[in-house]
Amino acid sequence: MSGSRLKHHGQFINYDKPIKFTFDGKEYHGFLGDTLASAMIANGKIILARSFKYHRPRGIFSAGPEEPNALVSVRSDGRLEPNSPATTIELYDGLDAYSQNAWPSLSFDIMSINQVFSPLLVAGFYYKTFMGTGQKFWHFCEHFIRRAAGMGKAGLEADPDRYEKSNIFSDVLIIGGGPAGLSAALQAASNGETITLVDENKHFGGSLYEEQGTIDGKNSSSWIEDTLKVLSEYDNVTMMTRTTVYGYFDDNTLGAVERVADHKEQPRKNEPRQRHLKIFAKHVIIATGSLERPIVFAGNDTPGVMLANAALRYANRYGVCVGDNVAIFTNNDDGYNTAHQLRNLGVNVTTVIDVRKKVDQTLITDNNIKYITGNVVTSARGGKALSVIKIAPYDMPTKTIGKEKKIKIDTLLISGGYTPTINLCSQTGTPAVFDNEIQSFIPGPPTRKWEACGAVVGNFTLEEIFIDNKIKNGNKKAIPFALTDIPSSNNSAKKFIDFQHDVSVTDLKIAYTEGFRSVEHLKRYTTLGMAADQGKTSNMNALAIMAELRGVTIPEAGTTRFRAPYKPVALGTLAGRSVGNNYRVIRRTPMHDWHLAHGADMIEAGIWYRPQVYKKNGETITDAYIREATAVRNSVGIVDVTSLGKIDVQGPDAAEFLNRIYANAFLKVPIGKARYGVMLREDGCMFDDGTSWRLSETQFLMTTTTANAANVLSEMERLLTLIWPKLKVHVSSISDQWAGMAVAGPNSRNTLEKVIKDIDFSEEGLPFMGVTDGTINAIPVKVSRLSFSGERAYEVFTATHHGITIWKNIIQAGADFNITPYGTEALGTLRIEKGHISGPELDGRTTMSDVGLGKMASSKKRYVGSVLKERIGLTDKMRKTMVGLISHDYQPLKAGSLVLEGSKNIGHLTSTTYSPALNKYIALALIQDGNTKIGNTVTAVFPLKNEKSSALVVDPHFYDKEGKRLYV
Amino acid sequence: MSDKILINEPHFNSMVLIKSWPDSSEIMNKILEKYLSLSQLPKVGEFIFQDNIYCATLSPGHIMLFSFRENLCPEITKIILPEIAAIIDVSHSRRGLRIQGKSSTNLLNKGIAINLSEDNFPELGVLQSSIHSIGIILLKLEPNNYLIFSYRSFFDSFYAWVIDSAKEYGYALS
Amino acid sequence: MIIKCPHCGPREASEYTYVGDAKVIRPDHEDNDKDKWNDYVFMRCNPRGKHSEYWQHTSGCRAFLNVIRDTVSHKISNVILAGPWKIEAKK
Repeated sequence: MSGSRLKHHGQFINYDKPIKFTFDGKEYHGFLGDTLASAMIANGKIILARSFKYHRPRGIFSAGPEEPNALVSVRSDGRLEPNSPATTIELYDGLDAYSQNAWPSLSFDIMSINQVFSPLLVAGFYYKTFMGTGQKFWHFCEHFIRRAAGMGKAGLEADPDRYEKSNIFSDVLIIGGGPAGLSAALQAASNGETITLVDENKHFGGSLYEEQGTIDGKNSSSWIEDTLKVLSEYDNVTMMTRTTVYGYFDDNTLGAVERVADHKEQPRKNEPRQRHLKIFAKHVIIATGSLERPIVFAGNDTPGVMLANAALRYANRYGVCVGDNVAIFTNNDDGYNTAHQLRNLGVNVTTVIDVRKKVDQTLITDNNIKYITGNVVTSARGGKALSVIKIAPYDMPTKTIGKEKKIKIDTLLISGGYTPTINLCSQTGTPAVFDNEIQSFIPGPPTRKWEACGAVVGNFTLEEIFIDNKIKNGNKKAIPFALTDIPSSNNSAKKFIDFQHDVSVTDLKIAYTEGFRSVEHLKRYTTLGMAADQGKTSNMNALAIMAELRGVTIPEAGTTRFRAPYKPVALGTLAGRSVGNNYRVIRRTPMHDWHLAHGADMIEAGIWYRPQVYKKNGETITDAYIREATAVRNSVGIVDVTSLGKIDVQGPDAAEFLNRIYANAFLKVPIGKARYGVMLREDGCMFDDGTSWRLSETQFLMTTTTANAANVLSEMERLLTLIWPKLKVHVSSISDQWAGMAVAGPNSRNTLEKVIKDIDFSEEGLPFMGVTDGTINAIPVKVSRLSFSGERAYEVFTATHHGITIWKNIIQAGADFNITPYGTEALGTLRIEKGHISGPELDGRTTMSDVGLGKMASSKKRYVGSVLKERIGLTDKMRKTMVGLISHDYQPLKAGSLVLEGSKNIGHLTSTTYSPALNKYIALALIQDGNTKIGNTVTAVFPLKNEKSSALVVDPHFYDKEGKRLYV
Repeated sequence: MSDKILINEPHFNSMVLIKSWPDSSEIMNKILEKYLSLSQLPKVGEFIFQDNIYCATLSPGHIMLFSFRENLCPEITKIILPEIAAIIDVSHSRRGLRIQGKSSTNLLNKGIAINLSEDNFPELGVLQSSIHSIGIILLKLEPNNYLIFSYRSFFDSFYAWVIDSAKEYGYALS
Repeated sequence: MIIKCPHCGPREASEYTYVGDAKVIRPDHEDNDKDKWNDYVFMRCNPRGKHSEYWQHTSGCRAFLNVIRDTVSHKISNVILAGPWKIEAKK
């Protein structure tokens, strides 16, 4: 076969706009309007790729998204997109495309040796060979196999283009702008409802371009033109081409991809290459049409074998001739129609071979064509280009062939009838039902608000679609019937069903023999229909063959449910703009810029950014946190605690409510006092801890850990709404309302006294756990005397907007005491030295007793989790409880290390640090029956790095157990 | 209405959340109606602009006030007793952006899966949702003219999202 | 999946947080029967078909909704407001 341009002018081609493009580095020419496939055929090239498993050369097979063979990589570098069907790539000047699955080159492929071994590479080959022999052998072979059996490769560079996402709302969504979709749009447009009409192609019109009849007296092209003009005049109608609806999800939510700029060399500035659309439609009309069905015979994948209507489209739309000597193999009337149209367009169709013995004689009209009825093509041969086919008389009931005869041709067009594209209907969960008349599956009754019309429900002719319009001389109906595989005299020639995954009739038979007979098993065992094309051209033939093997009808054999996506969707399109800095949101405190300006290394705490350490003069992280923690113990430090969760608890029953959700008593917290509280989950494990400050009789300010803020709020809302609706309390997140900073160390009071003149900082004026209001330079602040570090310390809250001003004021006031800003590392060090729990100890499994807070829990009241915290598993004596560890050998301990007593694993390390106060490496650990282990020596092991360290078990309160430093 | 997207940040000095209980909502309504000189508070999902105050009803008994005036919260606290409603000063919790122009609805629909058409979300409508995982309150002042509030700590991320989304419509930071 | 919030209108499921089986009743707060609490926290039916469940509109009005959802088809047959405002909503 050698393609060429026809004299006939293709309807889609702009002959004034020649285009240069390259394929595998070689320059070719085409025209604006061409697809890569049409241009390559016109250049005499039909082999654009080799097959997936056997690396057989494969020719362009179709003219649309169903293409199983001609998958190419398009564009290069960051813009490279592998596995794109050449049949859907619109040509533009400078387009570069590359073949796939061929190494070292398309014409000579070393891997095609796989063909010789193909008896080994049958269904289940990988399972049988590798899964049985153990994982090691698989790991050894995997690298080579992945190289041999692969689709195109993704690029390694970042894609420089934009991908956008959007949401669309429409009363009616019409999918498919062919005859059925356009007529549905015309009918619906005048209702005034919003209508979105989408089509995946560049042009609306679908199969109408090859329709020879007239609609309302107009030929199909002018009818399309007029219809689009009418529709464009409606404000309520939105028309989108190059838009593929790939998924139909719950509640009439559909996913679509609009290829905004794929047909351009580069998108305009800030124009997306593709846009992902989520479409919310009240009603959906599915007019997705049908796809031509191949026929299965020996050598049916030889380059030069092509779907009949694809050849017609290449001729009619692109003015491209697919071959010089063309035969058509058909099982229906439409094959004749295609043959005659092709001849009219200048394609040399010489032979029509029809399976059927009896044929409507009015179809036989062209003296230049040899019509051979009652015959089949038994094999096609030619290696890289078809040169000869064998035909033979065929007896359908017995499936026997007569004497074979050779015919020399260069192109064989096959027409096995049409298969409705029911993918989207099937995705909604509606079972497909078998239509005997058209021998195909059509959508069953809709279970949601959609309806299907046109070829997708088996109405293949215009007369069936345009009931009220006058149709004259429309194309003949192409009633397909299930032809199973055709016998051949050449038993070694493969009969392919799924070209893209190289699944042949033999594979189906092996699967059947091995017991994989249900269509669901068949699909998974042979991978039939699981390639990027979702078996668009293969499913029906496979079902027919399996049904025959099992001796049942096709509906009895059943079909599988289609899943999204109908067509592959690029990951970049799904990611949209959530890339780079937009990858995820971050939360910043008002002091963020100050931290950066003062050398802070920022660390993510959930989605908050917090200073980890402030590095000075080439310090390491360790140097820095030791300096910072030491400064707090010796003088004064300041840390940004804005990220703490803050919840306003307000209402006449606020105290009663807190008393029910905290494990310790809260009913009688005096106004102007804070209390540390622990919350349990309903199952009795620890949920969160924090302080709640009583601001008035009816109002508390609750703080939570940074990580749990949202969960605590939701849980409180749940209890107030669903469990205790009579309690008059409202809870509201005020995390963003307040900036917070902790000023800690023996000089904290001296520092604050310098800058807050209206608060009495004496023991009487602001005792431990006291809360009061004051001002700094007339800016209101809330000060509470709380300590996480174990030193005298104050938390200063101010309205977020003033955060940075207050922070700077305090730092200025602390200059005399060399006030040191500290980060999360030093914060951690200080609290570990004190044995205070934090995130690593609140791991969702620990109880209050486990971490030494058992005595805090009230025995006089019921609270959330109070009953189940007593259940057997949570009171077991052998539970892991919190202890301290000190490294014997002055070695850093690693969080996550296992604790061994002898060779027995008795627990793990939760938090570790170097303690400047003790000049030792210390850790908190949860170990079995920890209280009895104090004074023992254990081993901390970190198997991932093969590290071992000997450690002494101690009380977790390493530093100032009596709490005297709070009053220094 | 200009074709161009316009984005600016109006500074609100007061934001107050007022949450009543079922048996006190009528009293709260009356007090607020009197305070704002309104015959009726807006229905759920609607707001009203009166005396330099945007008063939005977010859900039954839950009112949010946004104002350029200062000290709104102390004023409200004086007239509504704790038994009637919780009054939460959230003046610093959020920052607002004004987004207007022909493409502003399309811009917002990149992040919000809510039908913002005139039929479904007419002007003087208010809604709560999230954009790019950031909780927002959206007020529709008029067609293609929105006021949108994000939480303050998220605002940098939110602003970056808005600016990035606006680029397609020719918006450029000057 | 789309859930129609009585306050906010139809919103995608991603705006909501699943809270749990709405038929499970919490024991009285003062009750100290471990078995009852055990059932409340751990025992759940896993029906095929209609299921009454709570969802919180976390990205919207934060209301709790009692949703009747089919666990097979995800079809939602009813949504009502739960909690103290339920009766108010009926008025």
